[in-house]
Amino acid sequence: MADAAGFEAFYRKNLPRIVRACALVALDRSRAEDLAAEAFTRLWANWGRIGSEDHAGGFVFKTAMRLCLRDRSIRRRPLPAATEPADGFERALDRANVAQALAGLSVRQRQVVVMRDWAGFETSEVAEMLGMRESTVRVQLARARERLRAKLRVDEGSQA
Amino acid sequence: MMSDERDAAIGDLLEGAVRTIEPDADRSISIIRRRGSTRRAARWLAIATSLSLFVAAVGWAALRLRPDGSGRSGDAGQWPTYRDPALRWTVQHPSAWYVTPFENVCGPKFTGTIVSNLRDAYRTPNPDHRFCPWPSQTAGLSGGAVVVEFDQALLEGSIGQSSTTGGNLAPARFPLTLDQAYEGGGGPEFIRYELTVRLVGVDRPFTVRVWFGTAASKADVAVARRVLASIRPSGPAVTPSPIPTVIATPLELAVTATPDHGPVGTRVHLEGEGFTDSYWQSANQASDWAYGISLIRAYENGCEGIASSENISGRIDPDGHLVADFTVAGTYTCFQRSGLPGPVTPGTWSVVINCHACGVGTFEVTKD
Repeated sequence: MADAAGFEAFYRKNLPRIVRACALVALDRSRAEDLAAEAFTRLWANWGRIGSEDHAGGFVFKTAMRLCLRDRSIRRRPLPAATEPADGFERALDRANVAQALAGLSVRQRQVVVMRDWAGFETSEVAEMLGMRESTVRVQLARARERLRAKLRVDEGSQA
Repeated sequence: MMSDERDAAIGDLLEGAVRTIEPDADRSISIIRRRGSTRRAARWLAIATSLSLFVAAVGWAALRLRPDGSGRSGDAGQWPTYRDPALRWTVQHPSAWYVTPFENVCGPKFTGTIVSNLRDAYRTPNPDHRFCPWPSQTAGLSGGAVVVEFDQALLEGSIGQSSTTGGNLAPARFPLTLDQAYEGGGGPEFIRYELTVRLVGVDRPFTVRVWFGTAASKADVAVARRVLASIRPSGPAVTPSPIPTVIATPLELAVTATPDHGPVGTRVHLEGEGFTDSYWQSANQASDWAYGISLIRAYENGCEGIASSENISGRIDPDGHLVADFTVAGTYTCFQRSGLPGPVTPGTWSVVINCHACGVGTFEVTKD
């Protein structure tokens, strides 16, 4: 996987997924695109050492999530206004009250719920990628789900 | 509920919120590839630089710490060579080090050269001092100093061994190394080595001493070893000569002691031949021998104990015949420091006559 063409194909295939994941955590589309670009930049810088597409996928997702966690602008981001969304993305989120619901979570809680319930990573993978213990991931996940359900009026028992 | 299962309902809600996001991949791909390539190049550069620095540091350290002493001052072959004006011995040394020749100091007239890493690290003894200690008093030697010194007693017929502890050393061979040297007479701030060198056709032996301050750097110690190894006589090659036994000296002096061992208080009778030199003869003309007859022994605490004998009587006749008597003293005083007397303990003590450096043999102090 040392060729530029291979990287570009991977990038085109995975960029939307990484930007969307960042958007769900950062609650800001432009910031999400910046973070995704930085994650892919780091991937390209290490492309020669990446052995497989699965490895590359894990690398870029993990890098993006860690960048989100370190981003102070995300940690300090105020709750989006419910009545006057800032842009089209937040307006779309707001339609389902998802933005408000996600904003009520900590960055860590947003990450675990996005990675587990949206991206479909196993709990052990989430723990490894975020550098947390599995038990901590489960606790954060439970709290995040509880708050989201309360905000979004989602019934329990819909696990896949 | 803390379930490990994926919550599909929440997942669907989140997916619905971001499903419409379609980033423009063409807009950022070129930037990403350029930045990534730059970082990759920078990383390789950093790795190469780190490796180069590491290799250079290891090589540099190896050169500095090489056991043969070649070090930071470069190859010893490039060091300046100094020739002692009196002895004509040569020594190589780093150009930044200090070379101090000395000549005609003390009663037995020692001459030689001192090489040291620090200026005035080694004090030349005061020739006007009554006893003019030789080797020079080292109590003031800086802990960071390393010193290499060689000398020869000019007085024909003297034992030529200025140390009380080096009299029974095997002759040294060139190149000189510390393995050949006797270690002793040091102190809490320095380690001292001494070795004797005898040359064919030269009556008087040469003495080489090395001091390492306990705070001296490894590099300086390594360089001092190299300096030591560079010492060369300009005369004939070195050849071994017999090691002195009991109380006889290997040179022209021949002294016997009766008895040659005994406890404190023993009355000892000395007889010897070979005291023809003007030094001994002039000493004989004095009303008393300035230094008398003393027993001297080095202690590990850096003290050279001097037990001045009691009830001394003696004479050297014009033919160089010595007859003397003394009583083994019960206490000694420390040569390097005042106020540190101690009891004379069993063991081998050097017998000196008239001066601190004028050893003529050894006496075994016993317990009973």
